Amino acid sequence: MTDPRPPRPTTHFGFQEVPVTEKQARVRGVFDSVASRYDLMNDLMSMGVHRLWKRFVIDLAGVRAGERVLDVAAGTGDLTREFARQAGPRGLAVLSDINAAMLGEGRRRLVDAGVLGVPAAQANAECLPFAEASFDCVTIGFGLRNVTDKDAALRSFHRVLKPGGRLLVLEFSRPLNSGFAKVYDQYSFKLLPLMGRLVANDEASYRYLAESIRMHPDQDTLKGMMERAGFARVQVYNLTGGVVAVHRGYRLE
Amino acid sequence: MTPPLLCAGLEIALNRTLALEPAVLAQCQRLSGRRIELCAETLGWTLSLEFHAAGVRVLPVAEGEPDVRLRGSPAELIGLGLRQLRGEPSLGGLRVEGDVELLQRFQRMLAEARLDPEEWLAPLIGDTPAHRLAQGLRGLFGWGRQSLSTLGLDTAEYLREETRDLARAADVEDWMQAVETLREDADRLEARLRRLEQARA
Repeated sequence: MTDPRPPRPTTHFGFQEVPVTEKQARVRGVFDSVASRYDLMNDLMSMGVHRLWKRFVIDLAGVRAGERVLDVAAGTGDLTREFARQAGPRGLAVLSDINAAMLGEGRRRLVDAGVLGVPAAQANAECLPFAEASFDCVTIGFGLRNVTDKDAALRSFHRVLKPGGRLLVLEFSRPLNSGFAKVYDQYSFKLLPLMGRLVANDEASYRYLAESIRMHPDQDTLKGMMERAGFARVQVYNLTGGVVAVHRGYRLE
Repeated sequence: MTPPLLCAGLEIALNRTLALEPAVLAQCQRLSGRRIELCAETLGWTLSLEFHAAGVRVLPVAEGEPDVRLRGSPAELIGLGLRQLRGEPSLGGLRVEGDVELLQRFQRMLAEARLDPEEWLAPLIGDTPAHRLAQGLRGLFGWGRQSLSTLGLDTAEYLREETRDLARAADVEDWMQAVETLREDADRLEARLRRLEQARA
């Protein structure tokens, strides 16, 4: 006898298919687990180059004094810290993350760095709790691949941007050279979980991070998704041979 | 296609310069949506500069017809950039199509936004000390440039005359003339051999 109930919609969690309703909780589990060692994780995954990738995003964002910036999935607040300095006292930088542990870590780091008065918001990127047209710049660094409904998140970013505002997405992507891609695969699936086990005693979380990178849309697909969400002048900047890509798009209307 | 990172580098540099002068940024806002296109002909690269309220965005693909287009070799475009840095508005051998006034206006904006150390120092240490310090710095950099130039000339002379690692200009010219004579002689010999072969046939 067949089950008359419609099948539950699923999405990917790394290489696993899980019910859509479960992904958020599972991602939360990973980040609860790695929050205190997040910087170490980034350094391990990128061999330290993530600092240069973030610097590029900061330069490309070109935030000016008085502007309002929203940093989604802000993690430990590396981008928020610079944006708060650039926006200055007349502007605003908001630290936002869906994960309370990460948000707490980010706030603590900002205070340690002497950056005070930065509002923190625990928010889901798919339905941001901000008024329409309230930011000049929205950024999301290494966060979009963990969002369950990426299209909804992109529409949400578009909604909160002022006309003329820009979105910058920094995310792991697809290497452009096939030979390099093979080496990168070996690194991601063999070396990275091993390092996770040895350094953080958390192999599963690091395996998920490597798998989630492979399941994330490639450069052209993400560009198309941004255009469908309403962004114009979308440009892709490949860094480190496409290991990471920065997508920038504008809300023009 | 133009490397996107080249566009990003140019955009970041231009926006940092333009942001030095608030009045220039206000002009960017007034020019919002207008575009200047740079075409490096031999490479087939296009850099599309579009004005917006926060400066310019530089993209490798152009949407629609620009307001003004500059065409030239990559060397000519680099030359334009270097002249702009020296504050010389000349376009060199570049060909211009479209609204020349927009181009001249952009050049004036870049010139206005150039870093003036006196202006930066005055609010910190006062007008007169700022003027003296800026003069001192100019003198120091001028002396540095002069010293570097002299050092360069002396080194080049040593390598040419003493160690003979570099050739003198006159020697290079003689050698090039000799190569040219040899090439002409070889051409004449080849033509003579061809005639002899035809005569035998």
